Amino acid sequence: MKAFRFGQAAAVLTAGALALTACGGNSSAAGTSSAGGSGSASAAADYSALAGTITAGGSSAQANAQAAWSAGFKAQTPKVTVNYDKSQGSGGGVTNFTAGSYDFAGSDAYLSADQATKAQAVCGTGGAVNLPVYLDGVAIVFHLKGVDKLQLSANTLAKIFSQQVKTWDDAAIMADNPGVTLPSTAITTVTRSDGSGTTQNFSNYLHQVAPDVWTAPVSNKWPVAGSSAQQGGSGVVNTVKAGDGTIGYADHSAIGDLPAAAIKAGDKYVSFSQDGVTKAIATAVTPAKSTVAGDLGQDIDYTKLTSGDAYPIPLISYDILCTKFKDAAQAKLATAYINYVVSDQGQKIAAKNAGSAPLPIELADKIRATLKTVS
Amino acid sequence: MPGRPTPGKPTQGKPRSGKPNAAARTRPADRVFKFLSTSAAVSIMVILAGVALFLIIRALPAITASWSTNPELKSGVTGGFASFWAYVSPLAFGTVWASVIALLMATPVAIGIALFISHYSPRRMASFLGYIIDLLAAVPSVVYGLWGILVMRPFLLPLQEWLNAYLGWIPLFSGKVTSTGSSILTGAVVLAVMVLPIITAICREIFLQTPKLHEEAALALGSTRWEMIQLCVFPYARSGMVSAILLGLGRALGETMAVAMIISPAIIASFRIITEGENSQTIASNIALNFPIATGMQRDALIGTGLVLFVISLAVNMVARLIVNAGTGRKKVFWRKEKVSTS
Amino acid sequence: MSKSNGVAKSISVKDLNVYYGEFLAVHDVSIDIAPRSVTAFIGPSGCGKSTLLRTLNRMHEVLPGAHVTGEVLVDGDDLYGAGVDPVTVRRQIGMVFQRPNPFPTMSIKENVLAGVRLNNRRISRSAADELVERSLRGANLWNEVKDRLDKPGQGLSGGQQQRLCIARAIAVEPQVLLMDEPCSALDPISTLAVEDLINELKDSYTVVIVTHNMQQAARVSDMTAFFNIAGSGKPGKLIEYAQTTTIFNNPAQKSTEDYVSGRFG
Repeated sequence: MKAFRFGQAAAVLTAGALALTACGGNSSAAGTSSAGGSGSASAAADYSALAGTITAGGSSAQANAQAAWSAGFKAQTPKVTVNYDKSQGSGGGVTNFTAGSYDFAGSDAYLSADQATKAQAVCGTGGAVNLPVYLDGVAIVFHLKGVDKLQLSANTLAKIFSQQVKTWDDAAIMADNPGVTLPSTAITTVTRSDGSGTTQNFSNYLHQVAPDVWTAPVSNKWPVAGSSAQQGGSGVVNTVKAGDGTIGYADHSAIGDLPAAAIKAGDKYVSFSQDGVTKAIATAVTPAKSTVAGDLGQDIDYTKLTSGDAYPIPLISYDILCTKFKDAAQAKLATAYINYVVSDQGQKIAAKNAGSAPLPIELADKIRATLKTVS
Repeated sequence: MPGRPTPGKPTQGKPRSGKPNAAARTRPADRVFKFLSTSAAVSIMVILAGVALFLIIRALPAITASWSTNPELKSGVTGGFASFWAYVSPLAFGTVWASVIALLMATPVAIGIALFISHYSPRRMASFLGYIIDLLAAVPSVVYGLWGILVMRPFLLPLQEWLNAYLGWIPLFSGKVTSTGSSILTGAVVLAVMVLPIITAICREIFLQTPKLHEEAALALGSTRWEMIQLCVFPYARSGMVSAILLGLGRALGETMAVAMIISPAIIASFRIITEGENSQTIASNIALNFPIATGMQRDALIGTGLVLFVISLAVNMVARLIVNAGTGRKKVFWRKEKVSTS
Repeated sequence: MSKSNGVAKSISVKDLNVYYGEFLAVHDVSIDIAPRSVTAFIGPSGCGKSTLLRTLNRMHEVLPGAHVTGEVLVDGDDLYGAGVDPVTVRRQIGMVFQRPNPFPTMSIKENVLAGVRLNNRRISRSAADELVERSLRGANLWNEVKDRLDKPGQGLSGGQQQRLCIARAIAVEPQVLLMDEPCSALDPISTLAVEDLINELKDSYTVVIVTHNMQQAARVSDMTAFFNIAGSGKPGKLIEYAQTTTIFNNPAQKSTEDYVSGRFG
């Protein structure tokens, strides 16, 4: 205990300095120094006695944020290394997690009932908890000569992506964009060719808000034929950019300088904003059914997003970890890291480096409460 | 010959008597090398068997599962298919289809280049060209993928629109023409460039081995160079060319990155090559695209498709062998030399 | 163009120098060869006799950098004149090589017809059959192969293969037939068969033969040309050209006498 306290004191003194030195070494931690100077210094002190390696992997949507987080965390706990393997994808993350090789998995979807049962083999009967640590929005990007602003209602969006609307001067699109001259260019929808959490969210959104138009299933593999399917969010963005009359969906953090459509929610058209996503999550989520206490898997009810200031297609990505680790020291490491991730500072770093939206305060509090039960 | 051993006196001093025996026995270095090379040979078979076994064991649950009721298989990347075979058949078709189109484009060009190097170009230029071709083989496939996306897609777009507009009545060019260029045709062009070095290099080697004797016979009869090539080079190189093409096919079948990046896939069996949403997907690309997000049973299903690709590749190689061997059997004397060079 | 129909022609070589790149291989050869005769080129290895033979149908040009100065006149027409296509030259001047080289993928019949097909692609079946028989008879091979015309030429013995090559060469009815050591890869019995054939061929063709075998030159040729070389790296030269009997019995040059009598180093 004595050593621990000494460590705490030392950390308070050195945290700022370390954060600064980390800046020189790792560009993705660029946001650390300013954020580290704010109110999170006391939280940082908790981490300082830790040493070891956290092994994790999964969702590639989280990749940039995880890189920023691990660099920021390393600045405060130089003896801890976080290895997040983004090449695994959500499926690989969960697979490796349920095989016991990860401390936590990154996944764009919370564990299915089946996976939750499998997780008990590793985590014990307590099971695993899904923690929504990364928020972003699905942006609808387009490239159409002469048009740089576009408004779309959910129904029009569903018509476009189910190949029912074929040209840009279709009445449905015109109705959403009064006063805008739209060319008769053919519409090319650009989707993901790889299985993706973004596709899952977007198809789920269309399924909920435009059930009359969208009859395809909700799936992480794009369910409608006839689109130009591209690999990865960057593939979608590049193809939309290269074409004319193209429209696609991608994580907002990946769209670069492409224009994104404003999406109708209630009676207003809402453009993407990080605050808009945070508001959307605060409004629209309901806890998913779970047998694990403290599990924070969320179902999004997109139909609730009518206020006009919430972005209507938010996206959640989870970190999943056991409620009971085999190794208590490892539990301490992992909970410290996730605590850092959901801290004000962690969320700011991710917002700055990965373009994600900060967690609503009450959700972050719930995550911290759950983390206390993890041992 | 002062030291010749006589029957009555077989040994004449130690060093001399030792020699014949030592020659008969294998030396330690020989034994070590024999062991090393034997174990290397055995290990490759063990590895191959291991890979096959892994594929079969992992794939079996997905192959035998009921796809309409299994909670994992009926949704997500494997969703919408009645059985494993319904899932893998269009993929197998797409794999072969994309590769065959690529080969149709690559083969004539490769043979042309190989002939130019072996029989037309000045020596210095030939070696330079050979070097360039070998360099093509060293380009990583992800670079070809990027090149395909950024250069070939827009470059081939007008051609595809033209094909669709004027030759759209041919089923090959029918359907809604691509507007982004992510068609099988674009993918196959890039694939063709990727298999070009393999086919060219092998053909060049075989063309160069054409006996001078036969070339002179043809020339002396008054054949032009092209007639000489038809008269002696092609007949001589025929089975070698077939194996070169099949090796190229093997490369094309397994190619992943470039195809995954360029072709906009759908898991259907379609002969159309310039559409957007009706491109038959290949097995390797489908695995690469969907493995990361796939979960337990879905992964098994994808591994199952890998098993099918393994079988297809094996079949292609066996057919190649058969063709080469058939050629060898018919013209024993003549093919012997060539067989050594390709095996 | 094959309308020459076996009209044997004379050859007249004038001041011919043969080069491989910068290297002078044959120096200043002039020689006149009469139609319907057999002329033998003899001499030690490297003396340029094969090279000279190859310049008579421009086969030496197969090697990059090979070129000549001087003239080779066939019945007065210069083989190296402007606008003369070497392919045309070779169609009119046949060649038989040191080692038998029938086309391995072709049957005996196809081999005989190979040259004709190049010259004149369309030929009726009956005309082809007749030509095959005539050429094979001309090469003294007909009786041995008439039952297996569709079998690969590669299946024949070495001597038969060489006669098949001769049949292939004469099937196009050339004006001149060049033979580059045609018997050096054959056993004595096959050699004898080919030599008999050469004796018959001179009734219709102008034959030039390169040989290392002095007895062969003495047996088959009317005229003999002796070539020699001053040393390695030096060009080959024509030393003496005369009636074969003169060369072997009463040569004008000392070095010729040394060579034909086997006293040559």
